[in-house]
Amino acid sequence: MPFSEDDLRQALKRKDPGPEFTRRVMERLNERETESKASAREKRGRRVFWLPQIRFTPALACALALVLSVGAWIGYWSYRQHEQQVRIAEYQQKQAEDKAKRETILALRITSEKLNHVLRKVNSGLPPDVKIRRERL
Amino acid sequence: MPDGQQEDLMTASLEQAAQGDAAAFAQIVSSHQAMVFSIAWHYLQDRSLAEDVAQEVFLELYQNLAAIQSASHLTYWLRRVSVHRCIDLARRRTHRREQAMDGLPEPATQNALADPVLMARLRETLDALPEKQRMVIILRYQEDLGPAEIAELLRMPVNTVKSTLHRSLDDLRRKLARKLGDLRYAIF
Repeated sequence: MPFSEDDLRQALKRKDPGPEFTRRVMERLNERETESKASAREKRGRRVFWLPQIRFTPALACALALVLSVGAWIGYWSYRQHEQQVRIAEYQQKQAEDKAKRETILALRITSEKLNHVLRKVNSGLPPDVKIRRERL
Repeated sequence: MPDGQQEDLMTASLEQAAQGDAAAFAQIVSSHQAMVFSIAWHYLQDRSLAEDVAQEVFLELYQNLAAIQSASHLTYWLRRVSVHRCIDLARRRTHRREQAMDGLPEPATQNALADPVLMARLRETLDALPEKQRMVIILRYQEDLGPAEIAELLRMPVNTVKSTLHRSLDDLRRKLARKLGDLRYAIF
């Protein structure tokens, strides 16, 4: 039995799903909206603190990496500055100690010379058997 | 009602639905339900699956209302989404049918003058065609679309659509002749 294109059109004629179809779609729509509202409420309830939802996009990841690397560089730079200041303070302290040492030695030498001078004066006025022995510092 | 006036009404319904008017959305569903349901019904040959697909398509439409610009865009969008949902579902499901076609009441059609035996055989034979061929035939003869429109919906070259259509009609004729021959042999 041959068929024409009109037969095919007739066989494939649009069919109506019935008058209740629209109501069923609207019911499913309402159900879905109620479910999505409930799940949103549940999500909010589960959180202890309110935090915004963050989606990790490549741009956000790049920004985070940039912030972390800048933070790390600032930390390293502050550490280097601190180390340098400590080294300068140590150097200055060592310089001051050396100067104090040199001045102490000079003062002791001067004192020694003075004492020797006094000793010579004293020895020159005493008999030879009671002369005081000169001690060098 | 003239086509232009109907388009204006539909565009107005679209705008209202996009602003959250449920009655306007119901109006859109009611106007397009036969088209969406019939694409799914003719393609899947399963009433409950066809209804599920049609409902999903309208739920998806509700989420994308803001992107629909006009009544013709709405028709194009609904056809495209229905076609692709049907193809996806047919690929996913195995050939197990929950209910046979014969056990179900036929959805309402407007014209009952045609030979019911031929109509039933044509639909059965169409169901035996490969997926792409079946969808091309449905879009050509149910939706009255030209090869260029079918090509756009199915993302196929126009020439492929034309050759598929030609081959599908040949296959349909051959399979139907074989089927009716078997039927005659069974009767006599």
